[in-house]
Amino acid sequence: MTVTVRPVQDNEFFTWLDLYAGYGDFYESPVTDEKALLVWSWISDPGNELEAYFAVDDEGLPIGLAHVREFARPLDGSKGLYLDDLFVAPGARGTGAGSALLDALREAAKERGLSVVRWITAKDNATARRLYDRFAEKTSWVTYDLVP
Amino acid sequence: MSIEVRPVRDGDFFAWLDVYAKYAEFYNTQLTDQKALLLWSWLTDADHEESGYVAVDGERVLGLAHVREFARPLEGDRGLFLDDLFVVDEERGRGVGAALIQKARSLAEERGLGVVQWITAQDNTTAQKLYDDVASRTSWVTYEIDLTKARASGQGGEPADSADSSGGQSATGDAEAAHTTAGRG
Repeated sequence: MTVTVRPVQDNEFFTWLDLYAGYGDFYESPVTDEKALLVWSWISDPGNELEAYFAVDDEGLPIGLAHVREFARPLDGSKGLYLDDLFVAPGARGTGAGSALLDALREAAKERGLSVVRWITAKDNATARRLYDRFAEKTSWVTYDLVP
Repeated sequence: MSIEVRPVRDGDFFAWLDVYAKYAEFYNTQLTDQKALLLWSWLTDADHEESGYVAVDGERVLGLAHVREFARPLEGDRGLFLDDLFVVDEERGRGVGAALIQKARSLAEERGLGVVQWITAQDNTTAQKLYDDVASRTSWVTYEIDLTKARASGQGGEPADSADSSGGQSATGDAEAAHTTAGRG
């Protein structure tokens, strides 16, 4: 199967929601209607930093999804690309959709002159981490959260 | 003596630079004039996402924090990322770091942000003592594709086969990847 990657279009809300809801279920963080509409408003606003990409199969069917945004890296004096969400439909695992998305994002970041593609994942997400280990370096950064 | 945390302002450049240079040194990063000026232009541009705060005692700059808001799609909200936090050596132990983090926290509160988040080096145990008091250590694993390294070593689109966890080992990974390219040529 040949998988290609392209930006999500304005009229693809329901296709996008289908994939994003699956992702939300995986992380046990349900995508409510309110949340879906908010995130969609970010994606469809060219002035908003968030961008969305589909991986599509031979027939043009979206089988994977990625959300990214550029971010400033002060100490490095550069900008990077942050991968917020990456998801492949359960029925399309093993088709190379995840690789295709990471590959496209790396190339896009390179073209834009960004210095890094960065993302986080759950420690126990072994399946995803096998893929990530092929593309990227596991860092030893410790992440802290403070809920105000 | 009292500690006040306030946004950086125009006249702060040299005092800020002094502290920021020490921070860069701590992280073994070279702070060129060009980089310093670029960052200062970000901090003083109201339209740029990065903002800077300094902890001061009168005229003296004791520490600094750089923050920016970020989108959190899955949570459906925004957060505040603490990119840089530093307290000069001689002012450690008097609550400067805590005051800077407290500032980030109140900014997040005022703006209705869902989290203040930051990363730190695994071996930065001094800082982690403070962080463990005020925040929760998560178990997220961070992955990075370093594009500057790929450019510097003349690598094409192929990802390296192995990903190593420490900086020392990743140098070996690069050498292997370069060897593969040479072999193909």
